[in-house]
Amino acid sequence: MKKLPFLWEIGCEEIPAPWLPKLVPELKERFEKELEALALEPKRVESYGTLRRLVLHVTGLPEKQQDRVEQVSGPPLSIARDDTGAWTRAALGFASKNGIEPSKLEVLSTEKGEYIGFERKIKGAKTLHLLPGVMASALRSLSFPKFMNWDATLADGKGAFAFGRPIRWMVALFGENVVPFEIRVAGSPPVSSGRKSRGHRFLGPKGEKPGQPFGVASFQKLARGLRKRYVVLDPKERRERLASEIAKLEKKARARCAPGLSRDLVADLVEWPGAVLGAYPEEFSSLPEEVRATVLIHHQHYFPLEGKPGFIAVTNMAKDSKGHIQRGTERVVVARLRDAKFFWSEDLKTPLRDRAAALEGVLFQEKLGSYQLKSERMEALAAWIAARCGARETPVRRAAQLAKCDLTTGMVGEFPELQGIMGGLYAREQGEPEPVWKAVYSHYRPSGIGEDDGFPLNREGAVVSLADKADSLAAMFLAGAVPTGSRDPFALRRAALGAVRLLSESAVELSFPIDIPPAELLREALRIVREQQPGLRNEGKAEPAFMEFFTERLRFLFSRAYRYDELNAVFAAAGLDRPVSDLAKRLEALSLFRSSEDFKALSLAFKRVGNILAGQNPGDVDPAFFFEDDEKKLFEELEKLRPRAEELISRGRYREALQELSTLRVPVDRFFDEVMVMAEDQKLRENRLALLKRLQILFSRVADLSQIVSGHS
Amino acid sequence: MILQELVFNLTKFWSDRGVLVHQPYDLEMGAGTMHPETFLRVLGPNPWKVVYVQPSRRPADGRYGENPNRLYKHHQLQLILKPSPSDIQEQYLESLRACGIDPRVHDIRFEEDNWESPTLGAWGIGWQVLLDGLEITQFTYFQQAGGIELSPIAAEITYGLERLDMYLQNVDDVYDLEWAKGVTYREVRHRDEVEGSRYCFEAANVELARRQFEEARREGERLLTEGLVIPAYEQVLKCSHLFNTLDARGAVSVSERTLSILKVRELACAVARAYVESLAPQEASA
Repeated sequence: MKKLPFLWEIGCEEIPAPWLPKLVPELKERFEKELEALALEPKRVESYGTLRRLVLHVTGLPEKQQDRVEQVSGPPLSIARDDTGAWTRAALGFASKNGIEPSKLEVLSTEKGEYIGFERKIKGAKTLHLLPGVMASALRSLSFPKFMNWDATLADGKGAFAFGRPIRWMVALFGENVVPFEIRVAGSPPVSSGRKSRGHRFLGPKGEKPGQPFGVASFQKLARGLRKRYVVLDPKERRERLASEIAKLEKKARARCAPGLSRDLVADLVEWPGAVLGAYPEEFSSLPEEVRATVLIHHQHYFPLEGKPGFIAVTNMAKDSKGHIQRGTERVVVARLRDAKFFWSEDLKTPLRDRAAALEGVLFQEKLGSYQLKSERMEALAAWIAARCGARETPVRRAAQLAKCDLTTGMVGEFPELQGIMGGLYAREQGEPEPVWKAVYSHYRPSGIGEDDGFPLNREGAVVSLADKADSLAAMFLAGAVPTGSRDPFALRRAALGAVRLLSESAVELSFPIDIPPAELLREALRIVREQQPGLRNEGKAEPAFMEFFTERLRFLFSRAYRYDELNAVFAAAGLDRPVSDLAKRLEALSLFRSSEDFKALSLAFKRVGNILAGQNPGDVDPAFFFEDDEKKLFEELEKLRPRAEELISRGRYREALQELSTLRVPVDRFFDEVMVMAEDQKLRENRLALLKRLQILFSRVADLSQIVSGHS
Repeated sequence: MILQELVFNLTKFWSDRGVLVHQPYDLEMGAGTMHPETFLRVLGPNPWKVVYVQPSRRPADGRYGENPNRLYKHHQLQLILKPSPSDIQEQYLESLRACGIDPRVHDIRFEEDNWESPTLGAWGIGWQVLLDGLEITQFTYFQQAGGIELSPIAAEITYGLERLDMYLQNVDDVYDLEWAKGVTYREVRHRDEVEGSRYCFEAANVELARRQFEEARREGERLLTEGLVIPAYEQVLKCSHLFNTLDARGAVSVSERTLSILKVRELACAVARAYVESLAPQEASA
């Protein structure tokens, strides 16, 4: 069958750059799915894009679907033929309804019995006619972080068509043919598919007005045409061009770009990456580096230069012939740095501690009131944590008192992402001791998983951060502001993940183990909130929901390193009532142990034990009632081993404990081979069950092995 | 380009494209969006094209005339095109040429920046337009106003006049701008800034403003029961400005803030509903 390429360009108004890395591959995936549903198999599907266009390139797309045969079944044979073997009315009715001669009817054997029916040939549809439907479905299935209404409708009968940004032109070519597609827009001419693309808004080849539509006949011609018109279509290539532009200027400036700004993001902000080198006066070098970086990176998307008062600004222009762009960027940067400098010197006039009173005017959450109240709770919880894990109380309390004070500074008002950091810098300038200012500085860390901003800088910081997060969680759960589905307006999932990471990683990161069982920490956090705000209504429901929520986060953290059945096994044996480090040790032991020789047999035996004991509630073992050698033997071995195993468990040496316990494999196997557990004699039966219960209890102190799914190891 | 010429050029540019030239509203407001020519006209089915300058007061941004970039009162040139034409971005870029900006030697970008006004129950999707890294325009496709989903969608283009002209005149201090030939922004507005800042940070009578806020709100509700939509909306504007003044004065507590915003929003939403209902018969006869 003839196969043709399909080219599709969706020309848009500027799509937010952060969306592109997901959007471009998504277009390909959605389109492939739609083709698959129609049994159309292309050779290759590729997608590309810039902020003004999404492009799909399909090669080897069959010109039409394969013809196929479909069985149409009618009434059961039993009522379709009469005694003489002639068709009944039911059969004739079925035939005429389907417009076929009764002679075409045949008997179909199915699982449910014999039916009558016939085979229908279905001619494959032309791909050109199917494509508009595929395109419409693919467009509607793209998942933008935010949709907009732009008065558009598609011809697919599904009405209004929300999208990320308005679509302004469309190229759709199947082989030589334009695939007809129309988007109707109220008050404007429709957007109709065609053969014309558009280049860069302001740049183009000599003799052509920039932004003018130009004709394309294939993907290669589109890519080449765009390049001539200052558009790098392929995101990968755009990144390479950006890197080389930056490298040129780094060489010129004899300085490297500081980290902190995503090059991928910057490459997607433009269609034709160019760059200019900017500088700002030396006087601003006295501003803390964090502040300068925030101005340059977060507000302007410029790369700061390491060790120099300068930056590299990426532009969407090929050159800066008159120097306008460089001067413009420098002026913006200077104005912003001047603002920042003003805030820096103004803010320093007030000691951080004196700002605590003003926190009364900063809202934490409606039902929970101000940050002043939150600060008080944080201090109480931080002091409790410090006492539990041996941190010094004085600097911890001081840091907790100061932690939120920067919310009232001009700098944080202007640059909210500097919260915490500014507090730390102001505290340092105002002579707070190092443990205190570093704790304030880093008490928002770690902010979760993913955009990782590191760990607190010191123990005090870890304690204050943990207190902050645990308090936010406890307070929000008591206020009923709980995350549901994808809605998590107070970022509680992140807060919980941060807390979990502090509990599990502080030992390694700061040589400072925080071995408080999460349940105790959470209960203390709840207690402090309740004590301060007895009026909160969510009392009863809060605690169990809170514990479950936290357990989920904990499991999520562990799920990066361990399998789900290992998690099930450990969490069945121990939970929030054990320190996180203890759970980690169990998981580690279990995941090592499962690949050992003894494990399979033991876990199998364990499952049998579990099955037999299900629904049984035996009493205690009475050695006098052992009858068979192998039950005696098992009992003796078990009791011999118990003290050592228990000691290992209590010391957290789970790997060795499991090793020790696995020596029971032989007596357990023999017990099951030789001893009839469900004996007729009740006393005997109960005693054997009691023995197994003892075994189960001892094993379960590490993990519930019956949860382990066999098959992988 | 002197400031008044910038206003003339932009106004003329849009006037030549069939846009009605309106005047600033004669009440205090924080942004051109609050002018009834935007807030009410974007509601309902009727097309509308309007442009006007709106002096916009933001009491908390007052800096006693000492900050080169921040003003108690600045000026926005506000454009509404409803429905929004499909070449709206190109038209906008043309308007920059009318200001003397040649896009071939600058770096002009549309970067995501969505707009939301909790007090008006309004939000939209759009960009800030950056000229060599400087934000000169807010570009918004209105999605909701007064809590009502909009259709058709209006495009709102807001030029920050001082910002834009500082770029054009190549000055770093707003007070150095030339407003008319030989007359600086300082001469025209500096005293206004100093006294305006003093007023809202130090002198505004808190008790009086609180009372006026409550009275305006109640008056707005009463006027709605009389079917007087625009007068009721004027009370929304008064509430909003009084709230901003109280806020700058540091007189709004945490719990009060949320409640006050909610009160203004409720009134604004009620006005929007009443306005849309009042349009319904015309729609039916059309």
